[in-house]
Amino acid sequence: MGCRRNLTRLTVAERQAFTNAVNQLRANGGYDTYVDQHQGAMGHGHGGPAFFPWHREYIRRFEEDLQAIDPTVSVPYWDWTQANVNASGTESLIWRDDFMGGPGQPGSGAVTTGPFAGWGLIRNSFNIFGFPGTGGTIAGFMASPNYTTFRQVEGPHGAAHVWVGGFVGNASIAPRDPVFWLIHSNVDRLWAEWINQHSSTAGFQPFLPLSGGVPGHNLNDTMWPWNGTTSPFGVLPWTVAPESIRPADLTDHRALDYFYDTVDPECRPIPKLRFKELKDRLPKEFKERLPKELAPKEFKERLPKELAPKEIKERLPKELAPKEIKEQLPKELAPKEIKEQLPKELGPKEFKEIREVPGGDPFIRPELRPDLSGAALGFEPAATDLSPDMVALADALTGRRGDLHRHG
Amino acid sequence: VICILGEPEDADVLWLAVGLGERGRVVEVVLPEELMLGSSLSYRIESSPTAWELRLGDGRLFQPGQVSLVVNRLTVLPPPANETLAHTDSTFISEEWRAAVVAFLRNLSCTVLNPPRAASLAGPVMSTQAWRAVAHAHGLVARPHRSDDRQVPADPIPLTCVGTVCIDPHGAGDHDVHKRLAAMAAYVGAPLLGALFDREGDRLIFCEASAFPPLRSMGDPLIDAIADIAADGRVAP
Repeated sequence: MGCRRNLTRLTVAERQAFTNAVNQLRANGGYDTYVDQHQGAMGHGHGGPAFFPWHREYIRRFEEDLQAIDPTVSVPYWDWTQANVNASGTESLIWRDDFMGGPGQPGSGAVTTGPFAGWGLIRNSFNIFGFPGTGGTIAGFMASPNYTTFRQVEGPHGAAHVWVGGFVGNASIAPRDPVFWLIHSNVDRLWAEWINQHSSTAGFQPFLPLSGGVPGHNLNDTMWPWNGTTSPFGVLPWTVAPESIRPADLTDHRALDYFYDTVDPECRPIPKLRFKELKDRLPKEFKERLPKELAPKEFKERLPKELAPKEIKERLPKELAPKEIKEQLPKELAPKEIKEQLPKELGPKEFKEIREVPGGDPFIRPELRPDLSGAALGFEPAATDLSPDMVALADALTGRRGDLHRHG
Repeated sequence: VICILGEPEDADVLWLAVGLGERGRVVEVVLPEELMLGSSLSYRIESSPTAWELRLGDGRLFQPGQVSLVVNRLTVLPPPANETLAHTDSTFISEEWRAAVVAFLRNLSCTVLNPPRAASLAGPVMSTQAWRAVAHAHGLVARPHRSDDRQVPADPIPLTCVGTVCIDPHGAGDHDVHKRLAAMAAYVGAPLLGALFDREGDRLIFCEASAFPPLRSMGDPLIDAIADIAADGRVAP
């Protein structure tokens, strides 16, 4: 189906393809159905265990609808725990006019820029260089292999809704603003990351409860609206052919044929910069031992123009095929020896960090992160853990809010 | 009662509510939804005193004399939930609600940290340029703002003033800086004001301010200062 990637990694064309597809879906009437479904699921897909699988199915269907318009489109995600700015920190990559548009106008909150300017959206007048934070809280929940603990991520995900505000800040109508999909793509990614992180733990369950919970929230319960039940929400017009969609069917995102750039090798970015970084970090004495003709710049200059990469491979003498090259390396340049010759500050650990992805990091990997130097991040929320009393208070307030939305 | 208007996702609200509770203060956290849904708000201007009452859907009642301090961490009010409304009607109702809440909070007799503005529920929101101009006018050293160079310090020094007390966790500023920042906070109508400074030699250079600052990083002294304001009544204008 495709790769869901951090929005900061999208090209201009990919941004445009996404926003075009969303606009087309709205124009053909398909978008509003999703808004209605979400509103109908306030008491079902929220505030309980089914929050994660319900939204997984919900986004998957939305993404399929977009792909029916443009097969190249996947729903990107917004990692709201950090600033999404360009390398020099001078521009927000999410609130750009070619993507989500800007914040709301002071006073009215009206969104007047970007591809969705005609939608009548309302957002807070937030600082585009700010962000909701909550990384510390999320990391705390993700550290536990217990789903009941992990699913408390539903709480801090609300911070992203509230921070953007306006429609997205009101849970019942949040999908009216396309930012919703970016928030929930990230929520879904966190579930995928968490499962990936803990799947080898003895007795691990990617979803709980197995049974005995509230109807619709057990592993093998079918979920509304796709199951077509009339209770307790009523059959709405979009339920034309009841389907059995259970949390049990949704715990493996790979089986649903989509991938995340922080989880799945299929869509990890090609680390073009790594080679340069590695070269720059090589000790001087190692660089000096490289024959001049192998230095990247010189090598390029000596290539005949007509030699495109494919042709180069084909024209390489057999004795220079990769395996043979290794065998022909002088012993002192074999990998082990190279490591031993590295200065201490470039010892195995650091060497490893350049080449390998640290496991278990719930957030975007370092090489995917934008360079935040120079960004105005002074007022970002402190990423410290919440005390048990604070968590209890947050739970109580969230519960009160849920009651209000359910009962009005 | 100390009334904190905020949301469970605002960790600073949680931190402040728990901290004030640990100091024996009675704290009520009110969600924006609770202000809007099933509540009633009255404000009656009489000769003296002015009467007001806020009754929430869950039965909680707030009246003058009960509330010693309001900490306002509202950033947004939920729009009307009635999906059958036309967009213009919905916008109208939202704006009416917003205006009512802003007027209500601005006219309370107790201290409000911070009183909302017409343009922002969270208090004054100004550009970096404007903050620096105000800081300069209050005798703080501030570089002219340049649009092509945001001049954000790599390691900013935070200071937060609440009323006349400035919390300076790094002990970076002297009494003069604290006094000037507090005066600036009073001038902009944000008795709770956070600011970031850069260090240049032995001078602090003002960079940015916010009427919606992070609170936790200021530690216990901030909770103590807010508790004192609740006990003492109004902060100095």
